[in-house]
Amino acid sequence: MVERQNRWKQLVVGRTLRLVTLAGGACLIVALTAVLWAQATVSDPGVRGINWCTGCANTVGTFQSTLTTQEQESEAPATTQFETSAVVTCNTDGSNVTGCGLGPRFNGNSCSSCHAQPVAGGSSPSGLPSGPGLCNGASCTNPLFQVYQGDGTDAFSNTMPSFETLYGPVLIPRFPYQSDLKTPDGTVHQLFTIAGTSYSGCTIAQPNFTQAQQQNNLVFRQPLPLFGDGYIDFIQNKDILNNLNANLSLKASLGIGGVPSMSGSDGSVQRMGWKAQWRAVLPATLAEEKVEEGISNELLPTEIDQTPGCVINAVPEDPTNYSYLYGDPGSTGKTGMHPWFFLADAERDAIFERFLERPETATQLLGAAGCPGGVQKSCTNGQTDFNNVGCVLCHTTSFTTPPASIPSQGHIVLNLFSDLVLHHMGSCLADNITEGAAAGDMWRTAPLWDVGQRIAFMHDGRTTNILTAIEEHADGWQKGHGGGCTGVGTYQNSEADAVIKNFNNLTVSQQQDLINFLRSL
Amino acid sequence: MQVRVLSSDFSKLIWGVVSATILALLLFCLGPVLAHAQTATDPGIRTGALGAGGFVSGLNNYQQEMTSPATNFMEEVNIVAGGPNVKRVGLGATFDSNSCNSCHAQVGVGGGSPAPCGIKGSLFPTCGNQLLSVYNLMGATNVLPFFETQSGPSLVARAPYQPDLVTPAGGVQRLFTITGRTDAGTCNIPQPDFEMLSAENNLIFRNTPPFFGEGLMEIINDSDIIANMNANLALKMSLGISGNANIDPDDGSVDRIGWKAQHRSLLAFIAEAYDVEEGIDNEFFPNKTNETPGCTPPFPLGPPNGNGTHGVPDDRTDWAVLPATGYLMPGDVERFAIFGRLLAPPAPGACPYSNPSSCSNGQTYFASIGCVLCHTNAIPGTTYTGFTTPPSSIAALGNQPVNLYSDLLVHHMGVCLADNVTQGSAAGDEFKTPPLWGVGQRYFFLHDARTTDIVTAIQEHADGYQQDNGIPGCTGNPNAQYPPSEADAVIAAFNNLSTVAGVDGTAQQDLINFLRSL
Repeated sequence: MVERQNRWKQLVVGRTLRLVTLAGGACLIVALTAVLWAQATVSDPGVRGINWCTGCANTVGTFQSTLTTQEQESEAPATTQFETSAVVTCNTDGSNVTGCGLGPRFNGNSCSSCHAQPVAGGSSPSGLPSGPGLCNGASCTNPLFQVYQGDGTDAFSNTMPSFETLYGPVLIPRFPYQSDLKTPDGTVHQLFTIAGTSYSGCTIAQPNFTQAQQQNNLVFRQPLPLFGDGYIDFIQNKDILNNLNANLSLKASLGIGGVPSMSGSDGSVQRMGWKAQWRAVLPATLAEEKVEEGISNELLPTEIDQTPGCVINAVPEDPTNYSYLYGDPGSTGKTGMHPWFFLADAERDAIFERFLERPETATQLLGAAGCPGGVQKSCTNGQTDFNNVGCVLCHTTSFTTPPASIPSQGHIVLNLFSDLVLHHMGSCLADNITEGAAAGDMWRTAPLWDVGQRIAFMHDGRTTNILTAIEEHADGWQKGHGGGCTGVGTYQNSEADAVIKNFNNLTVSQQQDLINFLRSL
Repeated sequence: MQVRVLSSDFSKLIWGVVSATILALLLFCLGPVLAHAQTATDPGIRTGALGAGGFVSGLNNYQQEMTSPATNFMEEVNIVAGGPNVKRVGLGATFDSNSCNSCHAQVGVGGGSPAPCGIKGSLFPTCGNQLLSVYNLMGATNVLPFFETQSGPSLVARAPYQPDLVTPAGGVQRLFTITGRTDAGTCNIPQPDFEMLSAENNLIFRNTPPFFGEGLMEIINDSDIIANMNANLALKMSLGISGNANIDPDDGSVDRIGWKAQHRSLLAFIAEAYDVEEGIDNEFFPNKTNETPGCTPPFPLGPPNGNGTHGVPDDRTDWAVLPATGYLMPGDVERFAIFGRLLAPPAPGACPYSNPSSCSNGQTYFASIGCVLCHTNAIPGTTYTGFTTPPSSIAALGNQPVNLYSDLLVHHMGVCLADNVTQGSAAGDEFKTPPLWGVGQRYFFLHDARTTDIVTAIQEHADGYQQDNGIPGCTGNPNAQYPPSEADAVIAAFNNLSTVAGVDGTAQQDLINFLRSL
């Protein structure tokens, strides 16, 4: 009897175990299938205008249509300035009022060589890894390859650093630490020098990027698009702070904080640049002219490197052009041309940027055809999910400009999808550079308008896949995927962790909708 | 008799000992009095030509033509709204003054805080604290803060800490608001509570520095400043002097303008000052400093066709210009910077009391006791060579010696000069070596204008001078652990000069005379 009972028990237990094993296996297969299915089915439709919607009109890159006639007239001289390739030598009589003073250290030789995707004023240009043919006209390849050994006027003997690739994004290198690897540095270390056959008296070397990389002391930033910055310039500080202080309990429940990058000068909210290190377009432009092209100007008046033999010009190289006091020089009757050139180059660059129209979404332009896949409801649903999972708590949908002294720029709703404040983003996005209030792991919420037309994502252009870019917001994502986590500090978790978890909990269809929505921007 | 003789010798001996003791006691007791009596006196603002306020020589015709309109820009008095001239609008909603020239006035437009009236007759174009005629202009309901007086300096107020008195702040607490002004609509905001800030020991001041010659200063090569920092290191170290550059975070160059070298250039300084001191938002700082509803543009009195009163930024590039007035196209900020850039450096004047050898002797001691180690300049007969500008795109500014008497670095200056405000790499106790060119014509000294006596100003460089001399008002945070002033050893040497014979009494007096000749 006992024996029968035991056999019965063994039978029951054995069959149960087999059933559990089978069920578990089935579940595993279902789960794996789901994962594989999810990986297979949620995909980045790619760059609007390149990978899809190839016939779509670009509305970015033009000047704001509501400007006055006089303001519109500045489009030609300002655009020309933005696209001018600077040469090294300025004429000693000051007659070349634009485009000189390059180097002795520099990254590029014009604004538009880096701010180019999809047109002048945009983001980092590059082709796609799959090769030419998918890229967009002049921005097919990394433009630094046309610059680093001179562009015809000057000949330099630079070598191309390994991290700049023909189809990769333009990358600007910074060293977080000085050579002792302890003392903070954080400044840009320009890629190239003017040393070479044209300027043989200048013998400065390029930075040792190989060594810096080996020492884990090399980080990158890619160029940001500038479209719409002229409006972001004067969003009221109080609106940014009010938005920061809205939905506090919801933000707290998701681990989201955020701090403004306050100007030490006037206590306003700095908002330009990857770490909100600049207050406005004008100081950012002047700083970039100096740091990226090595052109000294009235904000930063000395040469970027003062080694004897390398200082070619009188400083500042980009001054107010006094000879255009009355329009063109020599106009005795003071009836010359419009005095555009009285302004320094960087001032005209800033005019270009301030007058660039803000990006419009593809669905605004095209309706359903502007949503990847051609179903507008996908993008509508995607925005709902974008809001529901919490993306919108940092990527604030819109701000409205206050009354403006250029009247047409006032009372404009800006769908920039950014709160313009800084957030902790975890050790794998950290670049260990402090700029103002932004610590080594903090970044400004990047505006998403125009994200549909961007090729490379995140501050260092680490991915061209927008789905990966989202996942990268979560702390330690790289580590979990065998990537190269650049953080070295003991930073707190990414403020986006809970939101990315919410995103990952969406269904495949919902995730695809959200991706489609983003790519429609 | 023998006894008497003996007694007489003994009495002589006693008398000799007593006499020597009395003399020693007298010397011991009176010595400091004598030394004190020999302490130099400040001859005051030097007489003679103003020596500042003009433009550099050698400008080309176009640059020369800019000087007149540029001066007008500096003298422009700004209003909140209204009037026919759109370039004048934008004052407030909080502000310290309504024009550049009201504070930058000694001894001419672009200078420092004006001296009281009557100091040098009518030679100064402006005298007295101009803020007293600004604060209640056009019906404004401001109360004049207790620290602004008719004969005092134009002081800018800062609060080192936030209201919790722990978290660092340091921003300017603007003195006035536009509340009540006839051009300010319904704006109604209060002034800061300066009495409370003062009671909380959370109020510090900055005097208005002149910017003569800063067109030269801003183009001095960074490499020269760093090389000068690294020169004479052993000597500096023996005197406790170090100094460091306030490095610009954008391009790694040396910031050098302002009391703490917080600005890199005139353009950077002026953009901030227009926003912070006058409240006029511009293309560097495009929003109002106070965005309380009713206090931001447009205001009801805006001119109907103006382009400066519709909103922010109030000061901006102007597209509605004609070739005949092309210089009006840049915003005020850029035009003020043109003015500042073209201003000539102060020219030294005659030696006080008409004895040139006193000043040359004083200059020798200025170098030998170590003043020159921070107040960098070329000193004849020494190895100190000073700064020279590199070639400039404004040719007149290039290849010029810069006799500014400053290393353009920041130094630790002790707890009694500390203002507890951090700016860039300048900590709460660090200040830039203020240039001394033109110091002969300055009335107020040190960052907070705490003295009008140049001898006291020198002695204030020493750590704890106020405390040691029973002077109340040491502004340093008693909880802060600041190192001793880097000037301590040099000031001790300066004090010893009061016992060294000089051309004009003492070497110390010669040194003072030299400074007042600048």
